[in-house]
Amino acid sequence: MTLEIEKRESDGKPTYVLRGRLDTNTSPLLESEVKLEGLTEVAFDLSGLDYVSSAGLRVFLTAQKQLMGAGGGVTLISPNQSVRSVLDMTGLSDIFTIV
Amino acid sequence: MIRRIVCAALALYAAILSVAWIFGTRHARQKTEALLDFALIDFNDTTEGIAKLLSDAGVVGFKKEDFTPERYEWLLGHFYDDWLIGEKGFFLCADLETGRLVSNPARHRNEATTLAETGFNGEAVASESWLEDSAETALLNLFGEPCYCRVIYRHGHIIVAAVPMTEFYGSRTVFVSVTGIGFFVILALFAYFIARISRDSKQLAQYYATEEAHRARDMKVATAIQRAALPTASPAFPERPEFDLEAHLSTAREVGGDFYDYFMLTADHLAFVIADVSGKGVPAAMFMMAARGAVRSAAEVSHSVSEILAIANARLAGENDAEMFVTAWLGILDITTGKIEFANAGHNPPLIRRMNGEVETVEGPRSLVLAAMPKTRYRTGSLRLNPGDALLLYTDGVTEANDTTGAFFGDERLSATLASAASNAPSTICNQLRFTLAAFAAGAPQADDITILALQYRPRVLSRNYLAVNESLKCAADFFNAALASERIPMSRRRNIAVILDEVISNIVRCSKAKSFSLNISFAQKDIKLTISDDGEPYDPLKHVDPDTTAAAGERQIGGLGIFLARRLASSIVYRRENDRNVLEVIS
Repeated sequence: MTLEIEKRESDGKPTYVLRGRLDTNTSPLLESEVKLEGLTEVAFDLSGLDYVSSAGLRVFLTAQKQLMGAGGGVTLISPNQSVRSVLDMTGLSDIFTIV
Repeated sequence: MIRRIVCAALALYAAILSVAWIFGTRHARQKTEALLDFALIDFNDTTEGIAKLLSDAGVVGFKKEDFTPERYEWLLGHFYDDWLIGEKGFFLCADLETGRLVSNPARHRNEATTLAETGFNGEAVASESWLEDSAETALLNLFGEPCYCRVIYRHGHIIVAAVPMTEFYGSRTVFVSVTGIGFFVILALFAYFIARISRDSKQLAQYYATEEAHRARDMKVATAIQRAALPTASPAFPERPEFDLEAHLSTAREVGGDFYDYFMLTADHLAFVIADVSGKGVPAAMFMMAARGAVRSAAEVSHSVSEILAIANARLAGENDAEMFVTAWLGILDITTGKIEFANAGHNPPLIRRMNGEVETVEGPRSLVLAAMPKTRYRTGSLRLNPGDALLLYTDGVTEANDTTGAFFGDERLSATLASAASNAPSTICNQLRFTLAAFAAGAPQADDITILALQYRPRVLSRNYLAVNESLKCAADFFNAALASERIPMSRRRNIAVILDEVISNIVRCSKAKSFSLNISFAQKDIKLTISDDGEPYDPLKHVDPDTTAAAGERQIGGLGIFLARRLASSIVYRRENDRNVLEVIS
């Protein structure tokens, strides 16, 4: 299982639906896929994401830093228990908007 | 025994017969004497007696000349006619001068007319003076039969009182008859005793049979108790696939002095012991139970092999009045590493069969046997079992097993047998050894208890080597997923481990300048152990300072999060530098 990325857009706000695992190998894929120019908000639908490693977190964090500059931020949608606990552990759940 | 009794009885019988003969004869003689005394009483009372008798008969005086021959003959004949001595005795009366018999000739069976004709021999009864009454009874042949005689002289007559020997022959016969009866009594007694002895011996046999039955029953129970004291479940620890163990004990008698034991000391430590008590049979068996208990209870107090043996020894030596001792080999296997710490109390060194089939003898420090001296120190040795290696413990009943010519099985045959085993599986090793021993003995009786214990270390370690490149991450993750495929591990834990693996390996690829790394996955009880080692520069990722997880997003460090995460997700991570490699042991 690797990573599948599906980009959905509504009202000019992109949502990346991630399926599989987001780790050292797959995060560069996401990094290259996510285009943040001119955006203030980006959402990642994590409901199909198996797990995330620090490499994946880095992608989210990088995006968050960029969007914060534009007054926006990253929204993480429906992370599973594993992903949620990783976010909690690293204190990142305070930084992202998690729905 | 019976022959002796028969001889004794015969001897006794002969003795009784002789005594009966002697007494019988004496008795007959005494009777005769009494009879003769009685018969002659009146004569002995001097002439007055006779005079009285004659006066009673109407005769005064006793002078031959005073009587007509007819009258005299009649008188005497009449007188003697009624006078018998006993049944068969008789008087002879003869004129001293002529020797002519005056007693009733009818009584004289050969119708003798003179004393000489009766066979009377005066010489035989001669006293100092011819005409004096004989003081003693003489044995004379009268009328052709032996008679006890006494002679007196009265009034010119010789009077012979005679009692044929046969008169009291019956008396002797009585004695002999009594003796015969005695013999039968003896026979009866003899028969009685024989019967009694036979009954007693039957009872004794029955008693022995009962005793033997009791003993057999007791020994059966004792055997069962002893068996029950040893763990026999097979497989020994079904829930512990990291090792396999099998043990066999075959006692030379109903109960033995050998024992083995094994038990989990901790979740990761298996204690196992083999021991041999000096001696055999019940005393050895009782001491064996004590020794087993001593080792078990010592293991509750300490987890160090040397301490366990020291404690057990102190206890055994203290209670050892029978001067027995125990040889023992105690090992504690660390299931996570395959390392065994052991202490050897005078026992045969075990053998290791490596995965490639090579057999080694486990040397190492030897210490004194148990129970010999109260304060004995036991030194600790150690060895390492690699995955797949098997360890064989045995007692000297194996190496000292005899064949029919008395030759020992010996160390070399033992090593060869172990080397020839089809696999390192304990059941295979045990079966092979037992089969070989049985074939060697070829029916020769087993002289000593034979005990074997085979232990195979087979941690489920899965190992792969990878090039230290990013692409290997995926391969490692796939390998890991495949390795865990058949395990019942919750999804969340699998994900945690996947993250840990990702963090650790990406760290190696990124930071260590390693060319390659290896990944070992092993399972120990509930733990999953990952050992990741790389050939890169010395680098302890755990020394990394944890990132501030409370900082605002803008101040967040991108780096350092990975190892932090790995540490948080793992239940333990340990770094060591070993053989020029960075080794990270992760337990989840």
